[in-house]
Amino acid sequence: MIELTRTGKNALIINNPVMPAAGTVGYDGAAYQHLIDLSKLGALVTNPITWKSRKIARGPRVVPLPSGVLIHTGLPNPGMQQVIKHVAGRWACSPVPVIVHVVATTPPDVERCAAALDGCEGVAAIELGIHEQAAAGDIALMLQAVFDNTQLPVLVQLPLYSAVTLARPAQDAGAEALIVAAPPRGTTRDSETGQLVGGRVYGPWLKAQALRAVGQVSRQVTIPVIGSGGIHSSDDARDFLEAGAAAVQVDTLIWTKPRELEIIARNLGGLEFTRAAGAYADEWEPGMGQTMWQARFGQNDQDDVTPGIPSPPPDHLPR
Amino acid sequence: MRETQAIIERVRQASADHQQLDLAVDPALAQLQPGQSLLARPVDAPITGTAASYLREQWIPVDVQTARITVEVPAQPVYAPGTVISLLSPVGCPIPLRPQSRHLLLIAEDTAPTPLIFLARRRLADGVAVTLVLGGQATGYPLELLPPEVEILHGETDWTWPDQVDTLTWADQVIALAPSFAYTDAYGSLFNVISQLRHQDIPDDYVCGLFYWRLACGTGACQACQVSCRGRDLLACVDGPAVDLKKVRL
Repeated sequence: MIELTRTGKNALIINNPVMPAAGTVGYDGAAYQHLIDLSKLGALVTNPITWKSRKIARGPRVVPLPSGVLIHTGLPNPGMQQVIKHVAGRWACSPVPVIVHVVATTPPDVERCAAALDGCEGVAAIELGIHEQAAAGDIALMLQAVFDNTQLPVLVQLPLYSAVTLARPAQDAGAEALIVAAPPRGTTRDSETGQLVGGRVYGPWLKAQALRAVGQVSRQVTIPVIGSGGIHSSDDARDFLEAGAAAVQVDTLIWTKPRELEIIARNLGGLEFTRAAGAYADEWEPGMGQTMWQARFGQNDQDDVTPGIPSPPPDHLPR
Repeated sequence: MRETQAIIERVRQASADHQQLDLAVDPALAQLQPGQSLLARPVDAPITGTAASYLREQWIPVDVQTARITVEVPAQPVYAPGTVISLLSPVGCPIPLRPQSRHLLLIAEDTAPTPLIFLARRRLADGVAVTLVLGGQATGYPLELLPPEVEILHGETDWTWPDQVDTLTWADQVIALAPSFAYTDAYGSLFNVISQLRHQDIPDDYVCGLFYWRLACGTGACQACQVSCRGRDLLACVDGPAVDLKKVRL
C-alpha cells in the first residue's frame, strides 16, 4: 500500500504505484474497460474538467511527431456539473480510487469545482492542473480555493519546465502530493493542412526531462511525488521510482498499447518471477489449486498438489 | 472494443497512392459494418522511430469476409505479408441507413473514396442503386477499385456536379466525404444546397458527413475527434464516423 497523502480520515492510499495520466482514459475509464483490467491499477485519473463547459479547439488536433504526438484539443469537457451528473455514479463503483483532475482556471471556478466534488462518492482526491504561466502565488490561491470547500486531498500537477521552481511553494501552500510533470507545450507543422499547430507534446523522448525534474523535486520536498512523462515500459516506470517518485502516471502509451499499462501495473505491483510461466505476477501463487492451475495453464505440472499444503513453484520457474 | 491480432496475408499495390492489405483476422471481426474501422499497429513495431510508428493507424475496410478483411491504406509505409498486426476494433458505429432506402448517393471530394467502398458493396448487395460522385482530387482515384455496378459521376471542386438537382432529388440518402481540414466548408455548402432543394424539410440521417479526424486514442477517451453538434457533442471515434449534418454546427 502506498500512502500518497497525509495520514488521516481522507488519506489517499493506493495499492499499486501505476495509474493513467489525466486525459488518457476519459472520465471513468469505461473507454478501456474491455482492454485493461482497471482493478489492477493504483487509481483512475479523470480527463481535465473545468467548471464551465469548454468546446473543442478549431483546426488540427492530433499531429504526429517523430516518436510521439502533439495534441491540441482545448480541453473540451461538458463542465463539472454535467460530468458529475453523468459519471459520478460510476466513480462510486470504481474498483480503484478516482482522482478528479480539475483545471486551475480561476479561483472562483476552482472553488465551485471543489464544492461540487465534496461528498461525491468515489472521489478520493483532486488533482489540480496548474497553468504553465502560473506563479507560486497563483498555486497558493488555487489551493486555498479548494481547501475552503472540501477536505479531499489535493495533488498538484506542475508544469514540466517550472516544476522545480514551484514544487516547494506548492508544498508550503498545502499540496498533499505533486505530479511531475504535465506534458510541455510545443509547436509543429501539420502535414495535412500545412499549418503550424501548438499543443502538448508526448512521447518516449520526454522521459529524460521528466525524470530529471522528478529527481530534483523529490530532493526538495517531503510530500510524495508522482512521476509522469514518457513512460513506455516497466523499466521506465522503475526509473521514476528510483529517482524518488512514489507512484507514476502513464500517458499516451495507453493509446498506442493499452495492455501495456496493465502490464506495467502488474509488474510494479507484484512478483515478476512468475513471468517465466507465462503468468502475470498476480496470477500465480504458491499453493494455487490444481483446478485453477489447469484452467490457466493447461494440464501440465501440479499433479501432486495436496489440498491445503502449499506447493513449491514449478521447476521451470527461476527461484 | 477489443484487441485482437491479425496477419497480413497479401499486399496489393492498388494505385500509386494506395495499397490494399488482405488480413486474416479473428472471425468475430466479420461483424464489422460499413463505417466501422480498425486501429492498427504492427506488433513488433518499436515505440520509437518514425512518426507513423507511434500512434495507431486507422485502417478502413473495403471488404469484409469471414475471417478475412481487406483494408485500403496509403502506399507508405510499405507492409509485408506475414506481418502480425495488433487491432483495436470496432472503431465507430455503422453508418446509419435509412429504412426503405433504394437510391444511395455517395460523394467524395478531394479525398480518396476508400471509406465509401464497403458501404457501396453492402448496399449493392441489398439491391440498392448506388451513385458515386467524385470531385476534385478524388477524380484521380482508380475506378477499377470500385464495384462495377456503381454509377460514377465526375464533379467539380466546389461540391457541384452535372445534374446535381436530379441526383439529389433521386437519392433517398446522401453520404458525403471531405478531407478533414475542409469539413466545415465542404459539408456546410452541401447541406445548404440540400436545404434549399428540400425547402428545409430534411429527414433524419438523410444527409450524413463522414468525419475522419486523425485519431489519438480511438476509444472516446481523449476527446480529440469531437464534432461540435447541436445538443450533445459527438465523438467521431465512438458515435461516428457518419454524423447527420442536421445536427452538426457547420
